[in-house]
Amino acid sequence: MTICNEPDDISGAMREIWDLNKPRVTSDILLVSRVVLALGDLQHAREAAHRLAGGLGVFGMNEAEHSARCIESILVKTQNEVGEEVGDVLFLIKKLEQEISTFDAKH
Amino acid sequence: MIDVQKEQRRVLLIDDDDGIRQVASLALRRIGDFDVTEAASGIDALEILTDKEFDVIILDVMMPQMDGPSTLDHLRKLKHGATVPVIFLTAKVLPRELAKLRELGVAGVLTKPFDPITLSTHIEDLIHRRHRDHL
Repeated sequence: MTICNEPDDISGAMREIWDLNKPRVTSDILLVSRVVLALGDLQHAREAAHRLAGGLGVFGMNEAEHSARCIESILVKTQNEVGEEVGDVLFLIKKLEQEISTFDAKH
Repeated sequence: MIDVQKEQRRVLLIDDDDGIRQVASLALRRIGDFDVTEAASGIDALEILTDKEFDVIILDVMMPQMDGPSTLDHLRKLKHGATVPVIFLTAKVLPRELAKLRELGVAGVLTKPFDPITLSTHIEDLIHRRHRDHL
């Protein structure tokens, strides 16, 4: 994935990078959501949460990064299926999505 | 007046996450004036290192196939990788995990998310510290 005609200003270039990477972020959120519903692979969901934790913060989405870290921590502790913490994970996913939407609306 | 032009530092940036790699590359080029070469995997990086020299390597820890520590192990056996300062980039935050990474003999460990604005300064600081420690 390359950025063609990278904008002169850093924030414009960052925005372009975000736009290029947003589909991957969306797919990682979907991966995590599926495992909560016992439909997906737990290890893939852990990796997706880890990517989200590392990736969202560099775009300045600190709360979303925090939510992703909490999700990752829950998934790391999970053995087979997300049990009683399903509600917590769903809440964190919603929070994460909301911050991404707010970020998109602002930029 | 003598025109002293600062030589561009060459950095090899290894991360499988496109977003992280692109943001770090942008910040290093545009803010730190680094000459950046990107690699999306440890295997790609080792191939690049067979014929290219770098002043510093930034290496992601968690990557599929070949992770950061394994890549470090392999690159130390290459002519252009034997002594170059390596800085780990990791989303791990626990102090004991970070300490374990430092024990592998790297110049430093940077945690994700990093601030793109100050990334270059952190890299420069770690390179300088490394040079100072080896004098």
